[in-house]
Formats: sequence, C-alpha cells, structure tokens
Amino acid sequence: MSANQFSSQAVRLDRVTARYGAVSALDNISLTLPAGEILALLGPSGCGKSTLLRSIAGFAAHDGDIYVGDRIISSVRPHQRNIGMVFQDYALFPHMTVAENVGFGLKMRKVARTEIAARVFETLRLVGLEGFETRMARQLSGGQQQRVALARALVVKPAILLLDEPLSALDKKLREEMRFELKRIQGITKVTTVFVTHDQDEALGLADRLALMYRGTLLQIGTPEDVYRHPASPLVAEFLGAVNTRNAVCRSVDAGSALVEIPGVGALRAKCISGKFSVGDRVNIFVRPERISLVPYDKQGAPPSLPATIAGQVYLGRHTEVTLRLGDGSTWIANIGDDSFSTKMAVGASVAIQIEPQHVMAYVATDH
Amino acid sequence: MRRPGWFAWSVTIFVVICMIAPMVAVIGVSFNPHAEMTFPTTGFSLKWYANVFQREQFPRSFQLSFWLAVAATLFSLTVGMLCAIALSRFRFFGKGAAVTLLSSPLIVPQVVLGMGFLVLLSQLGIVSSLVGLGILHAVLTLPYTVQVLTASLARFPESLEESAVIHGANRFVAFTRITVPCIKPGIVSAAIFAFVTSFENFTASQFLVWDRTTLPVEIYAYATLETDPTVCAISAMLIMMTAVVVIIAERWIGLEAVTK
Amino acid sequence: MPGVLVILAFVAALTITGVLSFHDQQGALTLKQYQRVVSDSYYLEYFWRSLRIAFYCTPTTLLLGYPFAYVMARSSSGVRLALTLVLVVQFFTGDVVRVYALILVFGNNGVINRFLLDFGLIDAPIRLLFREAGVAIGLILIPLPLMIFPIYSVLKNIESNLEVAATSLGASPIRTFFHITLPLSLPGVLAGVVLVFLFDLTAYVIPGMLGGGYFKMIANAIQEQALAILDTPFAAAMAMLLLAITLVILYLVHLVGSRLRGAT
Repeated sequence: MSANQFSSQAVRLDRVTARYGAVSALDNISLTLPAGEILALLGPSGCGKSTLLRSIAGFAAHDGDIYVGDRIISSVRPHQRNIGMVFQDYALFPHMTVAENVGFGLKMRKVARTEIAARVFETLRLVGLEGFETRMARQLSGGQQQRVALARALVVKPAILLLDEPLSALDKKLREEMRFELKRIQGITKVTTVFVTHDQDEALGLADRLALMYRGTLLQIGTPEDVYRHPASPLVAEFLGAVNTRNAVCRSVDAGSALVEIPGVGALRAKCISGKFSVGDRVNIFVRPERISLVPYDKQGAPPSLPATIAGQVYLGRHTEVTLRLGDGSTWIANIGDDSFSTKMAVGASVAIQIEPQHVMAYVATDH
Repeated sequence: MRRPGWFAWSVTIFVVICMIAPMVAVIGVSFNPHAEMTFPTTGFSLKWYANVFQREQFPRSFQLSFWLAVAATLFSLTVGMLCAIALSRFRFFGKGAAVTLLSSPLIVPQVVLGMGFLVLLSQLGIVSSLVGLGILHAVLTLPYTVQVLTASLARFPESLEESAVIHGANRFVAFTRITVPCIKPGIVSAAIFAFVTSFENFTASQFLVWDRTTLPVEIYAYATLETDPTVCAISAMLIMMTAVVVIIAERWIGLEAVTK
Repeated sequence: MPGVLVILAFVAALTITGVLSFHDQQGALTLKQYQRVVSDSYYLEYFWRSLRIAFYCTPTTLLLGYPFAYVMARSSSGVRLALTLVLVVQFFTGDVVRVYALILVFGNNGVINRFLLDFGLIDAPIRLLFREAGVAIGLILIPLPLMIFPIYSVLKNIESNLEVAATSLGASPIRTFFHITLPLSLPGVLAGVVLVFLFDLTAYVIPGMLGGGYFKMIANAIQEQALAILDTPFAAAMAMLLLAITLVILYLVHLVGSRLRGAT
C-alpha cells in the first residue's frame, strides 16, 4: 500500500445553520464539493468560515445535514468521523516525538505497531520530513511543525482533510513555499480538502474553488478565476482584490452593457452584472487597478474615457501604483505595467483613463 | 534590563539571613550533646534524634500526618481536577458562586475553621475521629488544587485536545493521553501544595485531637512543655525532607512551575 | 459528588458555629455572647491588639519583601533560582518549625543575645521574646513568602523596557522606580498586603510560641475559650466576630482593587 491510495469522498452540506444565541453564525449554507477537490472558505473574520469548518469536524453544534460520500456525519461523534485536520497553531502534542504525533491517529484506530511504523515513515517521506521521527515536536521550526501536522492528518487516510488557516503562522517566504507543498501533496493524495483563510493570495493560489462567506451566508462559490473576474456582488468584488468604486447613473443600455455617467467625472461603458438595468438607474461600478490604462490626454482615442491628473506614483517593481485625481477631486488607483510609457509621466500631467467595458463591473445600486 | 541597586540587594541579603539563620541554628542545636538550646554548640551527639524515635508520640503522629496528607492530596487532586474541568471548559448557571465557594476556605481564619469543625463534629457526635480530620484537610487542600488546576487547564490550548479527538481519540482518551501529560507541572505543583498544606497544618487541626493527633500538634505541645533539643532534631529532619522534596520538584518540573 | 459533600461540611461548620454563637451554654437563644465580647475590655483588648500589631507589622513585611521580590525579578537566573529555593523551603517547612527556630535566634539564650554577651556589648540578655516585640518579630518574618510571591509574579511580568525607556527619557533610577515600577506593581503589593495582614490578624502559632502565654492574640483567646475553658458559645461568638472583620477587610480591599484596575 502507499500513501496515495486514498478513498477520497465528496462532501455535501445541506442547509447547515448554526446559531450563537440570537446571532446566526451560519445561515442555511448548502454546497457540494466533488471528491478530490480543494475548497477555500474565504471571508473577513467573523464571517462564519471557521464555524463551518468546525461544524464539518464535529466541534460546532449545527442544524442541517453534512454528508461525506453517502454518509450523513452530522450525528457522528468527532473521533469517529475519519477526518484529518490541521489546526491553526498546528496543535502538535508537545510531549511526543514526531513519529508518535504522526502515528497517533493510527494508534487510536488500533493499527498494528509495525504497520504504524511503516505508514508513519511513508507519510513523513510524503511531506519531506524523513529522518525526523525521533525529534520532539516542540524542537521543530514553524514550517516543519506544519508538515508534521499535515502528516498526522494524512496518515489515517481521511475521507476529507480540513485545514484551519494553514499558513497564517508562517512568514511570507515560508508561506509561499508551503502553499506549493500543500498543492503538491494534495495532488498526490487527491484528498478532498476544505481550508479556511482570510488571505486572498492563499485562497486564489491553492483552491480549485472558492467559497466567499460574509456574516454567515455564502456570497459566491466558483473557481478563483471566475470569482475574481466575475464577482457576483459588490461585496465579493471588494473583498477579493483591490478595487476602485464609484456611484454612477445609467444613461443608456444595450445588450449586456450600459453607458454610465459618474457625476462630475465623465462617462464609461460598463458590463451589467446584477439586476435589471434601465436608463436613469443608480448603479455601483467597480474597476480593478490593473485594468486601467492611461494615455496622454491629448492623444486620447475614441470616447468614452475619463479625464484625470496624476497625483502621485510609487514604483513597486512588478508595476507602478499611480494615484489619479478625477474631475470631482476624488482618487482612483491604477497599477500600470513596468514597460508602459505612462510610468514616465510626471505628477500633475493630464491623462485619460481607458478601460475595456468588460472590466467595468456595474451593479444596480444597493444600499449596503 | 535594569539591575537592582545596593539598597534592594542589602535588604534581600538581610532577609535571606533572617530566613536561613534560624534553620542553621535548629540543625546545629539538634546535634548538641547537652540538654540546652544554645547555638553555636560544643560537641556532637545524635541522642536527640534517638529520642525522637524513642518517644512514641512522634513516629505515631508522623504516620498519621503522612497518610492524612496522602489521602487529602489524592482526594483533592481528583475532585479538584473534576471541578477544574467544569470551571474551565463549561459555562453553567452559578459558576461564579461555585468559584467563590471553592476558594472561600482560604479566607476563613484557621482558628475559625477549626472551631467550626469542632462544633459541627460534636453536634454530629463524631468528635475525635479520623473522619473529621480527613474532611477538614480535604476542605483545606481543595482550594489550592482547584486554583492551580483551573489555571493550568485555562492555559492549555484546547486545540490539542481537539486534534486528538479528530484523529480518533474519544474525549476520555484525549484527556488522559494528551491533556494530563501536558499539564503535568500543574498537577505536580497542585499535589505538592496539597500535601504540604495538609502535612503542616497546625492551627485548625489542634481542635480535632483525640487519643492521636498530627505531627505539628505534637511538636507544638512538646515545644511548649520541654526545653531540650528533641524538637530541633525532628525539625531538622523535616527541613531536610522539605529540601529534598523541593530539589526533586525543581529537577522534575522546574521551580518556576511550583511558585508560578 | 464528594466535592459537594466537602464544601457542604465547610458551610455547615461555619453555619452551625454561627448559630451556636447566639445561644448560651444551656442552649437558650440569646445575644449575650456578643454583648459580653463588646462590653468586656479584657476580650476587646485581644481584637484591638491583634489589629494594631497587624497594622504595623504588615508594612514592615512589605518593606522587607518588596526589595527581595524586586531582586528576584530583576537578576540573573542563578540568583533567582537560589532565592526561590530559599523561599520555597521556608514556605514548605511549616509554621511550627519555623517559629520554633526563631526562638533559637531571638531567645534569652539565643544566637543574638549570646553574640552580644560574648563581645561584652551587654551585661544581661535583652528580653526579646515572651512580649509584644517577640511576637512582632515573628509576624514580620514568618509571612514574608506570602508578601514576596504575589509582588514577584507581578514584577516579573512588567516589561523591563518600560524602565529602560523611562531612564532614556532622563528619569533617575529612583524616579523611575516611583513613577513606573511601583505603580505598575501595585496589584501585587495589594495582594501581598492583604494576605499578610490577614495572616497577622489571625495568627495563632506565633503569639502562642513567641508570646509564651504573656502576649496572646485573638486566635489564642478563641482557642482557649473553646478547648481550655470549654465555653464554646462564647468562643463561637468571638470566632464569628473575627470572621466578620476578615470579610469586611476583604470587601474594602476588593473596593480598592477595583479602583486600581479602573485607574490603570
């Protein structure tokens, strides 16, 4: 047998609801996760993502059903759910060696001693820690502890793997390294994985699909690309990636796009995302900084474009962050590629802001 | 870090002398061949040590005190652990009251406590029995174990227990295999506190004397009646015993854990 | 369950003592016991002197204990371990043995008197024990660990950078101490002072051994009434009064403590 023979299971949540007193921590969450997929639960703190993870683990009381494969696990006690979990602080047992930590789940399952040793060895090799068996858990570095925690969760060949903020305790460089490692190891084991994070890079870089949560509800679920490019609501757009936002008024509508006017600034062609657009509606528009291109004001092409002046620029290596002052005095941020001529423009120069219509995301205004 | 100045150092050295000198005097006098309590002494003799063992009341009361302390420690560790789990892991009605009640024996003057048990036991008709002394010592030691163990459990990260559970241990196994080893310093220090509190108790225990009594009561009685160095001999033995226990504790769990 | 029984026994013991204090020796309901305590200056004197001696011994213990705790918190780990060792052995040795040991030092035939006599500084031993002075010496020295531990645990958690910062801003060591360290350690001082004050107030072994029957305190008077004179209702009344004083002090301290917490 080998470490990559997992019987990975699909996970289905059916109207999962949790309440703390009058506050609902989870409000009717339903989602399906195919076997072998990685799902990121993403959202600001207090959005219910941790509660959802703890519900799957069996540590948080909830209504509704949670299926792993065909089995409803809602009433199964946590220690019988066959789940692997990596905790935010890793929760390695400080009084045990690495091998004892990793073998803990097998010991609890009354696996024979020789088989435990074999599987611990195999799993430690999988996570790149062979030879660390006899070290004490507390003597390891953060990254190594993370790997031990992962090995401990994987060694039992769990139906699903849960990760609670798996990279948050590491520094930036290690975090990127471990993100790659997690992806590699999950690729070998193909274990269905749910992880919680508040870090969008982590979510975008690791997950097959993202579930964005806010105040106990599921805002949107989809592939990272899908969610980033086509946010279903202003909340999603705002949380995932920096955006420039403005209120505008709809001036004309055709198939899928609309001409919107920002009072005191100018008009733009925008993609209609939510709601039914009609002339005169108030709308919210969202523009990602990297979608903005700048041309000298006197060389602007076909309208519509927005006039602006450059208020400042900061060179950041991969791109230059340009602060733009719009006609009404407010500012937008644009990330301009390194080789673009606009980086050579001086502060105070007049420019025209041009954006492809599909990158101007417009939503019928809600008072959120 | 700022270093302490000369004033703080002088006071500290003075205090250390005040603490150590009497102990040295006791040990010195215990070897005095003459029946007088003067130090420094001339000569050397073990006869007062022999006297300790010849006088039946000392070995007898030592036995009583020792087993009483063992029983009180085991009892208040077990009960204290249950209380600590309830207090640190669960929210329940009347928790505040429970905390107050469990620690209240600490603030009641010993003489009042002893007096209270004397009255209670005489009303119940079980004056002069081991049972009364046992309950009294349970009352005296329980607050310490509850406090130390609750603090240990509160500092213990619950995710460790949860990670044991999610990987297949039931709650009981998770507690005994993971939690107990991790809070061992707290358990040891609670045990030492309970044992010492029971073993050294004099003021409350003196109210519950029958044909037997505890070692401190016996020492006090002897010391107020006789003026030979026998008490020095037994005190010296107790000081040695304490020092040994403290050194073992330091080696085992570190003194920081004991003093906390 | 057994825990509940133990606590029940504790509550029952105090309650029944309280009830008993309202009876006379024949078992009739009366307030006479309390009238007797407050009207007889002989017994009031015990309360008065216990409070008075606690009032001046506690600050002395603080003066000795605070520098000790400070040195413990601010010195190398070797020194700290040695001081902790001394303290812990003290704490664990038990009052009876420790008080007994003081007799060997401060008695008429003790180390101090012998030293002074040998060097011809005095002609006759100074009587330190079996009077108030002896009891006070005991009450100052014996509860030192109770004062030191709470102050130490607060001091060691004070960010020592604060003191460095104050010094770098031009504060002298003394000003740094009085403006930074002392105010921050007040919670520990308060805890230590309360523990020691209540220890002094209700001390039994120290006046019993160092007072030698010439200088008794309230706990001795209660014990005497209960075990020697066998007037348990009267002893119960004094015990209840002592308990009441203890509770009042703790309540006052609680008030001061919450103001301290509010201020910082």
